[in-house]
Amino acid sequence: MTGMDLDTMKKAASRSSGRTLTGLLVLFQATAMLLLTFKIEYTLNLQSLILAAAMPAVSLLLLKGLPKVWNIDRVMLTMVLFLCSVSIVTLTATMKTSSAPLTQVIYIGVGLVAMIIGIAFIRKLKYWKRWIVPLMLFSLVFIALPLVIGDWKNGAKNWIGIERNGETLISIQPSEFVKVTLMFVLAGFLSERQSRAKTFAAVVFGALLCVILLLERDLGALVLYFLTTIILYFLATSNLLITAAGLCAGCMGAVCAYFMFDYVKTRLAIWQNPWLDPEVSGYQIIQALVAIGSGGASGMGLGLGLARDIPLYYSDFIYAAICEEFGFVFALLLLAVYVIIIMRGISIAMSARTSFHALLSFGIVAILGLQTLLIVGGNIRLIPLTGVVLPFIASGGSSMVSYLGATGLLLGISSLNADADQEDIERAEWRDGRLV
Amino acid sequence: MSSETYEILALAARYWFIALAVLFVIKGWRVSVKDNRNAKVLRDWAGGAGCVGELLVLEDGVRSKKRSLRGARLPVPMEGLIGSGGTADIRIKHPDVRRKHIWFAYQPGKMTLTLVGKAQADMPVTPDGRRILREGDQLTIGRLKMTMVFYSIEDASAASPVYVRKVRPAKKRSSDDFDDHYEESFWE
Amino acid sequence: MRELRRNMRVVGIIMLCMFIGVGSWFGYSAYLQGTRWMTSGNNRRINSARKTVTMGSITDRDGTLLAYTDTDGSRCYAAEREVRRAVSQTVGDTLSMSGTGVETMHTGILLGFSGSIIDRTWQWMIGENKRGDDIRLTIDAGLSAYISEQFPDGYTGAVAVINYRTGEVLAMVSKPDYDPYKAGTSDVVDTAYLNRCLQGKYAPGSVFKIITLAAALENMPGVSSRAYTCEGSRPFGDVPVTCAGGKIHGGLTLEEAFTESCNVTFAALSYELGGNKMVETANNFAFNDNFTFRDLVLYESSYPSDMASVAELAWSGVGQARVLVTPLHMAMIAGAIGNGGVMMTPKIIGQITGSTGIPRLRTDEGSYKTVISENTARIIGEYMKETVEDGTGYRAEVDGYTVCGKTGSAETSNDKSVATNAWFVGYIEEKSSPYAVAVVIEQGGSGGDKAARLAGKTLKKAIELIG
Repeated sequence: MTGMDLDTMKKAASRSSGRTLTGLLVLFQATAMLLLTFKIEYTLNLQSLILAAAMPAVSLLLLKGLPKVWNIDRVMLTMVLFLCSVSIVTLTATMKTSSAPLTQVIYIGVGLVAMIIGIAFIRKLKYWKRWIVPLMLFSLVFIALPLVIGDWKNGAKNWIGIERNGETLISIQPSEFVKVTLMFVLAGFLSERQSRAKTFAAVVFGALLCVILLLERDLGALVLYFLTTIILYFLATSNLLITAAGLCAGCMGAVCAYFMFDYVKTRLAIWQNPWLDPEVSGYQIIQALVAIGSGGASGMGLGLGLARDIPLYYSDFIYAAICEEFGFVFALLLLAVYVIIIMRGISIAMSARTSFHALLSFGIVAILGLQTLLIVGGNIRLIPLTGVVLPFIASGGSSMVSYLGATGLLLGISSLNADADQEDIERAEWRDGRLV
Repeated sequence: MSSETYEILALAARYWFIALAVLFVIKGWRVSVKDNRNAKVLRDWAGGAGCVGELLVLEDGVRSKKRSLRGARLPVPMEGLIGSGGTADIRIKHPDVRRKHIWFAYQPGKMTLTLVGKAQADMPVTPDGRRILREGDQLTIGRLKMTMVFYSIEDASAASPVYVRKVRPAKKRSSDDFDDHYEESFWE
Repeated sequence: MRELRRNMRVVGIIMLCMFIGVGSWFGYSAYLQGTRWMTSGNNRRINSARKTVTMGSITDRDGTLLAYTDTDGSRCYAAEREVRRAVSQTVGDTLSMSGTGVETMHTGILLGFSGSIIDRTWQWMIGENKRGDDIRLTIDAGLSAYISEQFPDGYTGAVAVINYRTGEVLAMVSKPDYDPYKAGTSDVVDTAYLNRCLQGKYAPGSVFKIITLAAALENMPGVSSRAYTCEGSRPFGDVPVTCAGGKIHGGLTLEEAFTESCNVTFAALSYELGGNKMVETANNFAFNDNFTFRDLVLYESSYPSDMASVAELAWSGVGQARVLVTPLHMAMIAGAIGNGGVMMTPKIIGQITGSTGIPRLRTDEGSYKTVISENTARIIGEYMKETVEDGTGYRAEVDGYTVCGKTGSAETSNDKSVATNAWFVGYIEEKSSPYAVAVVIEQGGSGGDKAARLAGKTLKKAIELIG
């Protein structure tokens, strides 16, 4: 080999134990939930008390147990679990009833199972090329489903409800799940960069999905899908010209959409000056700013903020609620956690062995990052509200499950990387004569 | 607990949570930076980790012994580009090799190759037109002749005639099937 | 693969930068605008806090109570009627009719939203009801009452007094004023809730010549030694610029043109400098700046960058056309001249104390920007000194002190029967009494008359009360 010390290599390939991080995470979960058990005067909130023990237990189980089975990236898992914990804590602190945090716990539970399935799945997947076409068809059908059997909600028709006796049991947002399948399809097509036809097919597929989303008026998902397709295209082909052309086409499309559709106009108008209609259309964003302002730097205190009974608030404005309870310093630190997750995700993508895995992991990272930017920007009135939710933190089953599943894929790829590193080192040792 | 006591606890807890978050982020950041550095080290090692084999240079048409690549073992990663440019995963500085010459990808037992644009090279071609390199096959780019060497036994033996024979089901001749099987495959 | 990695690195860095951008923007605006956001919408937290928390008190710089909560829970204001009315817009009222008042803008502080744990524990221990923080303003109640008294009867307008070395606002009197006890009733005169010092945008008229002079001194070398001629009227484009009162100044130096307030000369200078240079200098003086001060709301002053004609450029040079300025901004400009070209951030909150009496730590906002070089400031200061000593501002003199100033008579309509707004801005040169003042009396006639006189009396009283 190129003269590098084998021992240095072995050290470089070993994973950090992440013990401090695990400790901090568990400490946060336990103290926060413990404090919240006493939130209501002279009564103990049993659910919070149970969670104060259950959350650290589950976290420890995952962080100590999973790495024994597969060599996954422990630090990333810790970061993601931290975000999920913040979600549960915030919901418990600000919701008047205990049912919303409980629903969130259930969603996270399902999501964690999806994560484990994701890890196993990506490790087993060897013949991804076969699956591209069926996945494509499935995505198109699934994402178009709301157009057929769904209903309008908040100005967008992007969800399906499973009902019983007229009441909605579960509402599913197909666009959240199709995100992951989109990554698969794009990665599958684009990993054969040499073939012009295949890369073109990837872009066409992305464009088709965008059109469907436009019809469903799901602007946020539309922006995400569009940008991610362009990013992955650029990564695979390095073709700056076509990438720039695509971006311009997107901008022109946005301008056209502004003139063609009224709802785009209203969204932008509310963004520019919400105080023109503070009671109705500007109400939400003004209240979000009010919440952020009331929190100040260190927040109003856990459980001391304004209690709410509308769970819908927490799908769009949970970032503002976190600012209110914890302060904007904490909220900025949360952003830093997202940045760390993205950094580690990119690192996983860089160390991936095949371009399929590399594109898949980078695609997931890109969507995560872009979505976070969109929602935080919307909460602080930097950009108009787009209807996407904060990954891992916002209340919403589809988002949580699909993102945890995607995290599973990332962790799976990281374990594949680590395994390959091990093989390299073993081979080098064998050559050196250390292993017989 | 009275609401006032809770309030005071919650007010104090704010600083506690911020402190936890600060420690969390700082530690996470430092660990990530260290991991990034390690990953880069691993990647640069052997010119791209995750190698499945080597390209052994047999001839390159350069007379001077010092500058010739003869005998060099170029590590082959799972996927990448052969060329003389900076972005090539197998970088060969040879006048006959273009900047982006051949895309290659690993499949169990073989490497599939795709020529870039107008590039020319000689390698075994399957009946349906696909370019493949198995263990021992030669890849010729102008004056440069290389042969493929796989690291793992499974990959290496994929091209071997012995291996191919092994796959045929044994005819039941005697109770000692294993010996028959072995003899057949060894002498033929 | 290497190419792929290179691309990933590029995109990764771009995304990282976007995150850093969003994060910084967020942190920065939450820090600066947080209090403003908190009071901007219907904040249910404030409403519920008002029911359970005793609002803190507001005092002036000497400790005179300007607003406090009585033992029976009702909000009381300054005992002396004249004081109460003079600081009405500054302090605000319970119904938030004066949106820029401290009662409204800093409700968060008064209701203890910062949630200091020390104070809360203290209150809990001594069994006191939850109480917010007290604010001590930089305003001087006595000075405000005096200005309010001396303001010419029957006129409306504003007077702003600042300490130009620290940026502290010493008085903001806006006429008409109101009695905070009568807020919301029909007793209150129209526009009384408006704080004209902060929210009133006026055409500055000749006081804008300070900026034109600064532009000339910084961009035209030798301009101070040239000779100028005034024929009383000169056409620019197809519109003539005339001097006030039809005066013909004849031959003058630059200094004389300033002290006698010759419109023709300064219109010519503005024309010679050109739109770009004038806009640049105006922007240096914080025109068109969107002020986001921590303590107070100050409306934007404007110097338009899209002038339609040469005539507009010429008239803008003497503070007419579409140029607009707020009285506090004008005081800050005068103060900047006195402070060697450095404009300080205006502050109205002197100190915030919790129930334990321990003052809260606040970062000092310091200077806002440097508007001109120290040298130019010195020259302009000389001219302004001459204006009071020998020119149109002689009525602003204060015994024993050097007052530097500029008068202005701003036209507000083409109808010649409507009197001009009387302006005076100036400051005291002596650094031991670093006070700057801006007076505007709507339809008060010529600036050298009522405005300068009021300014002089104000400065004298400020020295007397504060030192």
